[in-house]
Amino acid sequence: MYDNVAKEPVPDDFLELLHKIDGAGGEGSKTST
Amino acid sequence: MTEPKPVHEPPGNADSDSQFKADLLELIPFLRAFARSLCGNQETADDLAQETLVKAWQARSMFAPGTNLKAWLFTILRNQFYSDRRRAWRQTPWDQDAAERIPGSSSEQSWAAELSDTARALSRLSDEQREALILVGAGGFSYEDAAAICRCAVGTVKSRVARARKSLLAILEGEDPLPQASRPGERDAADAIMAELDRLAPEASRGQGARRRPKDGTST
Repeated sequence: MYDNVAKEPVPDDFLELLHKIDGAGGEGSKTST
Repeated sequence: MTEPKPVHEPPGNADSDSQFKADLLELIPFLRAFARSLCGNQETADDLAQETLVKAWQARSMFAPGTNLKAWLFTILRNQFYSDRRRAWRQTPWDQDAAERIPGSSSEQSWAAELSDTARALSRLSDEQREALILVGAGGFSYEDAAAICRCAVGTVKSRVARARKSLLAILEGEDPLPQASRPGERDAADAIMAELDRLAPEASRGQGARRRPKDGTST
């Protein structure tokens, strides 16, 4: 099971999350809460 | 699914942040796999994995470059899993009527619904044994790294892995039958885990006899 899941393609929402994380802090910018 | 949201964190070096993000991306499949092994449910597991990514990003300044990022992420994920579960237990009022309608634990039920024999067998193990087996047998961690992730002694991890291995073999060999019909061919994952364990601890394996004959040789 572990191996099967590990071989699955990364879902889009993970990529979107990483993209938003990067947009918030990757260039040193900050997002107010 | 966790709603992706902007993360409030201290500014970091752009190059190191970019590398950190690339490393996170590379490890997402393993995070999802470990989360699935803990939760048993895809949606919950992916939520957990995403929470882990966010927490890791927020705490990235605390990660020491050159150390084991995968182990660091797994530690965050594991802590989040148990934290969420403790909170759920505290917040859920006891419903006797509902409890009497449920023949087994909800986690066991969700596990058993769609998963392979291996997953169902893993679901029968204790949390501690399951995570130890996954970390060492499938995750590729050393006993030392697994112990650090689980915050316990190395000997404890070895003991948990040994007991998990014995229990898993007993279940898969039919000493403790699974609740649903077995599907031939789905032993591959379990065999892979066992092979990895044999590689890591050949002495222990020899001491326990042939791994496909638990009745003959898995007693400790």
